[in-house]
Amino acid sequence: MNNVAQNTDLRDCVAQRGARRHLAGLSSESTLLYNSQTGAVVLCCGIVFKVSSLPGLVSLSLQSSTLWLYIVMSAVDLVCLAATVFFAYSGADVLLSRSSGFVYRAFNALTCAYFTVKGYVYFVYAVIFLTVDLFVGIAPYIVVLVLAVPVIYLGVKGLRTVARCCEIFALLLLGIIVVNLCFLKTDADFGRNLPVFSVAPGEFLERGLRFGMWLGDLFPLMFAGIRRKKLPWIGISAGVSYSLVVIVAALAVAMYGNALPYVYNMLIRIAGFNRLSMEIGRLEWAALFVVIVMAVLGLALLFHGASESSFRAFGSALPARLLFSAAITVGVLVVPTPQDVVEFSKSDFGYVMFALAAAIAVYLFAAGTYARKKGRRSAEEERPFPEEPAENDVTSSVESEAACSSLPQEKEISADGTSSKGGCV
Amino acid sequence: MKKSSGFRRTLHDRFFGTKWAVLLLASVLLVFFAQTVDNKSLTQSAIVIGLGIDRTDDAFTVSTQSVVITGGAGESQSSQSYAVHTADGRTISEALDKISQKMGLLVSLSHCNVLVLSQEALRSDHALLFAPLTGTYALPEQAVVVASADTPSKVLSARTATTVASPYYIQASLLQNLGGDGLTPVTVKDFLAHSLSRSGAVCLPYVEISEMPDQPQTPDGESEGVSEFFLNKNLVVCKDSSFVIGEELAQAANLFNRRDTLGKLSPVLPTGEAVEFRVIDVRQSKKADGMSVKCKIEIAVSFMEAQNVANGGKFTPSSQVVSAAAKELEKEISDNLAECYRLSVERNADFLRLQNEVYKKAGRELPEDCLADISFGCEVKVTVKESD
Repeated sequence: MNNVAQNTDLRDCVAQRGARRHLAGLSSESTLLYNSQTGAVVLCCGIVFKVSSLPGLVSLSLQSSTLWLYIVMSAVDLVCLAATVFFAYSGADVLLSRSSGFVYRAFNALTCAYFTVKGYVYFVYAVIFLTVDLFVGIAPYIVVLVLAVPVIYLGVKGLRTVARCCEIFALLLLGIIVVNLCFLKTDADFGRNLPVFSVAPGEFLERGLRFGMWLGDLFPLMFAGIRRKKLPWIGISAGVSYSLVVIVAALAVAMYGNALPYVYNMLIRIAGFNRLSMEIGRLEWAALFVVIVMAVLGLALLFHGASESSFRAFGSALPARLLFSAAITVGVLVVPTPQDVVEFSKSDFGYVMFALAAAIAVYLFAAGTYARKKGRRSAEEERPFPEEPAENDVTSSVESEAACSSLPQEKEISADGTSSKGGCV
Repeated sequence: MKKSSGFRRTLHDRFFGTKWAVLLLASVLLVFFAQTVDNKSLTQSAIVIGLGIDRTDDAFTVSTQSVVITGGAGESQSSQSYAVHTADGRTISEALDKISQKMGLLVSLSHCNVLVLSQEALRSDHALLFAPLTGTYALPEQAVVVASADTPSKVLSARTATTVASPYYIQASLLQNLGGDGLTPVTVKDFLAHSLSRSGAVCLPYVEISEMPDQPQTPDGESEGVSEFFLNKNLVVCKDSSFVIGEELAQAANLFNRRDTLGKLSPVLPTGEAVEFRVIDVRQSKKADGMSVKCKIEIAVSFMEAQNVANGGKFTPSSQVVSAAAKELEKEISDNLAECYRLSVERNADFLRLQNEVYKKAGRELPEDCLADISFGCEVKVTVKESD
C-alpha cells in the first residue's frame, strides 16, 4: 500500500497510546465495536431515562406540549448521535490525541465532567424510582450498592463489554417493551396531546430547554472504533429507539393527561396496564427488568465515557473513575433529599447542559470534518494512482483509513511491547 | 517502573478477568442485603381486596376488607377469611397504620382492585387523596373507583348471595362487564386524568345496597342480612360539588365519553312495544369549532328480544319493530345527552368534557370555566346487526 508511511505513523501513535492505556488500566481492545453492537448500545443506553422518569417531569412544566418537546428534543439528540458517530468514523480521536493539543485536552476535561454530572443525576433518578415508586421503604444504600457494583464493573471493563451486554439484551429488552405496548389495555385519549402549545412558544422553549440534561447520552460512543457491517445498524437502531421514545411520550400523555406528573416511571406503568393483568397479575416486573438493565448499561456507558475523557485530558482514567464511583455511591447517599437533585436538574442547570450538549455536538462535527479532510489530503498526496479498494471493505478508502486510524486496538501492544491479536484491515 | 506497571496490569487482569469471582462477590452482596430487608411473609400481611375512604370534617375514616390466610408454608391445610376493619386518622396513612395495629398484620394494597369513596371523601383534593395510596401503599392504578350512597365500610362489609366479598362483586360487574347496563369502570388512573383535566369532572359508578327481599336459603335455614347491589347510577364529581344522575343519563354520558361502553339498551316505542338491544361497539367523533362542539355517535347493537308486539314471529334487524326501536333509541339517547348538557351547565359540572374538546382547538387562549359559553349538538346513529 502506498499509505504505509502514514499507517506506520498512526500505528506508532497507537502503540504509544496502547502502552499508555495499559498503564492507565484501560484495555486497548475495549473500544472496538461492530456497528451492530453500536446499534445495540444506542437502544440499551440511549433511551431509558427518556422513557422512564422524564415524561412526568416534562408534563409538570408543559402539560399537553410534552409530546412536542419530546419530538424537538429527540431531533436534537439524533443530531448529537449523528455527530458522535461521524466523529467515531472519521478517526479524529487518534488524530487529535496524537497532536495532544490543548483544545482537545480541554474538550475532554469538559466531557469528563459532563459525563460524571450526568451519571450522578441519572443515578439519583434510578434510586428515586426504585425507592419511592417501586420498593417503598427500602433503604437507599441497598439500591446504591446493588446498582453501583455492576455500573462500576462494566464501566471499568470498557465499551466493548458494555456493548456485548447490550448485544445480548437488546432484542430481549426491545421485545419486552413491544409486547407490553401490544398488550396494553387502558383508556387513552391521544387528543390530550393537543393543543401543541399549551404555553406560549417562547415559554415552551424557556421551560423545555431546562430538560437539556437528557441530551447526549450517547456521546461516550465518540471514543468507539466502529467497524461497518452491510446493514446500517446504527441508523436502524436509532430509528427504532427514538420512535419508541416518541411513542411512549405520546402514550404517556394520552393515558394520564394532567395526572402524568404523578408517574415516576412510565415504562413500568405501561407494563401494569395489560390485557392479562386479571389472569396472571401485573407484569411490572418485566418492565422493571428492562428499566434496571438499561439504567445499569446507560450508567456504565457514561462511566466509560468519563474514564476515556479523563485519560485523554489528564493521561489517566483513574481520577474520573474515582470521582464517578464516589458520585454514584457517597454522593447519592449524602444528599439529604434526592428530590433536590431532581429539582436542580430542571433548573437553569438544564440550560447549561443543553448548551454543553450542543457545543459538544458542534465540536464533534468540526473535528470529524477536519480529520476526514486531513485524511483525504494525506491520501491524495501519498497515493498518485487510484488504488483498488480492499476486499470486504464497504467503506471508502479514505473512510477505511480513517476508521482504521480510530481503532487503537487493531494492533494491540501489550505491556512487554509485543504485538498481539488484531491488525488493520 | 516497567515492573511496577506489569504488576498493576497483572493485578488488573486477575481481578477483572476472573468473572466468577465478581459474580461470587455480587451473589454474596445480594444474599447479605437480602437479609437486611425486612420482607414480610404472606401470613404476616393483610391482603386488602377492597378499600373504603370516608371523611368527616377533620379526619379520614378508612376501611379495608382483607383476606386473612391462616396456615403457612408446609402446613397441610390453609383457609381464608374476610375481615373488614375501620380506623380514623388525620391522614389516610395514619388510619391505615391503625388498621395494621388492629389486625396485627401489615396492610398491603397491591392486590386491591376496588376503592369505595364517599361523597365527603371525594370533596378532598383528588391528587392528595390518591398520592399516598398509589405511592406508599402500591394501590394498583387499574383499581376501579366507585362512589357509595352508604358509608364505604357498610359497602365493604355487605354480604352478597353470590360472592364471598362485595369487592369481588363490584370488580366482576365493572371490570368484566358482567352486570353493567351501559356503565363503565373508572380506574384510579382515569379518575385522576379526568379530574385534573380542563373539564375537571368525572362520572363514577354509584353503588347502592339494600337488603334482599327474599333471603337465600341455607341448610341451616334462611340467611340474614344478605344484600343486593345496584350499580345503575353515576355520581358526577367536580371541583366543588357532586350529584347523582340516573340510569338513562349515566348511560348516555358513558356512550358519549367512552368507547368501551357495553351493556344493554331497552327502548320502548310509543305504541308500547319493548325491544332489547345489546351494545356491540360504540364510536364517537367529536369536533370543536370555536365555542361549539358537534358530536356524532355511532352505536352498533344486536337485537335480543321484543315484547308486547301484536304480530309475533321471528324478528330480524330489518323488521319494522326493530327499525322503529332503533330510531326510538337514537331519539332517546339524543334527548338524554341534551339533558346531560343542560344539567352540566346548570351545575357547572362538565361531565361531557366539552371544555376538553374546545381546549384542544382553542389552546391556551381558552378562558377557565367557559362551559356556559359552549354550544353543544349531537347526532346519534344506531345500527342493528345480526345477533351472534
